[in-house]
Amino acid sequence: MKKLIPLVLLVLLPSMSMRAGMPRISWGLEWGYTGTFLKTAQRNFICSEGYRIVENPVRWDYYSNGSVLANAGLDITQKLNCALYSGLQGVYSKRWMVPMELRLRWCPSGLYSDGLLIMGGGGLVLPTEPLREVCYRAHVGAGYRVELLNGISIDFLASWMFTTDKEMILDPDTREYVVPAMISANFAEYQAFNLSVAINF
Amino acid sequence: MQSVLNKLLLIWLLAAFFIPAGAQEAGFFNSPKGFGAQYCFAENDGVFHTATAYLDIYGIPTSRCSSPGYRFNFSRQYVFHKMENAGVGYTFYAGPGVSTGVVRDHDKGRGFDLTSLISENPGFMFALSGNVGCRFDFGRKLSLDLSFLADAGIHVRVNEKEKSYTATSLSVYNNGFIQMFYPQLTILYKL
Repeated sequence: MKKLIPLVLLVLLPSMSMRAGMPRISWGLEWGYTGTFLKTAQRNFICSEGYRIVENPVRWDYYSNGSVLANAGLDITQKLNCALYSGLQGVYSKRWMVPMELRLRWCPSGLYSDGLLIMGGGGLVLPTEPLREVCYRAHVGAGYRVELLNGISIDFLASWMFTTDKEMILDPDTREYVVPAMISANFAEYQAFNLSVAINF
Repeated sequence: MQSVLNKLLLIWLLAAFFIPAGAQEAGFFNSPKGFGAQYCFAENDGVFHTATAYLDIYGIPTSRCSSPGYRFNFSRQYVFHKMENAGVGYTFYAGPGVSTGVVRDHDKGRGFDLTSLISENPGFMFALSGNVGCRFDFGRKLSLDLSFLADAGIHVRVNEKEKSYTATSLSVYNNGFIQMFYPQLTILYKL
């Protein structure tokens, strides 16, 4: 991931220089509803009794969450914007994360006119509570942009979100947390949809 | 999920019932308090009315409860200043109103216990409200409305300590004051 950001900037810089003048800096706020509908996990660990437990649970539980994100970015071309998003994102029951997401937004009819918006992005997420290991997320969606005034617009967005996580594993016998040395694999993934509104400046 | 959908349906039915024939604007209500719909009656002699129905999300962002409350407000707004700058029209207003609904109130200092009784004490709320705000008109079909609202009222709910006896408890609706500085942003569509 550390290599990804310079790589993206390297790709974007030539397109920036192709434009006359400096690219416009954009700012924005986004908030919305998140419905998490699927959680999958892969756990492989040795329990206190000394035997190995391998689990791959799939849970189709529904949890309502929300998100509040701020962003800052650049208008790369007349139709493409790249922005860094951060804030607070609920991903599961009592599970909140701080994302650092790089997102591309493409407006076929132009960034500063009414019309379709397609977006996609990915980045890191940091859980707010243990286990606080840095994880990843991917995000794709579409929406409709309404231009209010020069440079001020509102987006109505619908998107799908994929977030990874690492959980505290409970020993089934002692009900205590399994120490990291006994864990071979510990992954969890959440899938959710987002309905959000954004204001861009 | 089903209860959320039921409440959404109820709110939309409630909102539809209150749609006036001469509604000037209708929109999407956004706030840290919750999400819903707002109808704005046509302005007449510097006075207009707003009807807002929304899902109260108190306790949901912190995962303390999973189902929202629902809330309704009707306000009479007095326009006290209008101005225009750089193509944007600003309308400043303030006014009284009434709020009601079935919501959870702020639980009083139960500390960091995330499984506190908040999830068990939704109750009926009735309050007199005071509203102040500003409408931003960009000369387009969409306009924005930023407002703040305080509720002074009561909250009636099943007593947490004696719930098996279905005793009720009555208290001041604390969230009416605590949430008065929560911004309310409505994206309005001109009908």
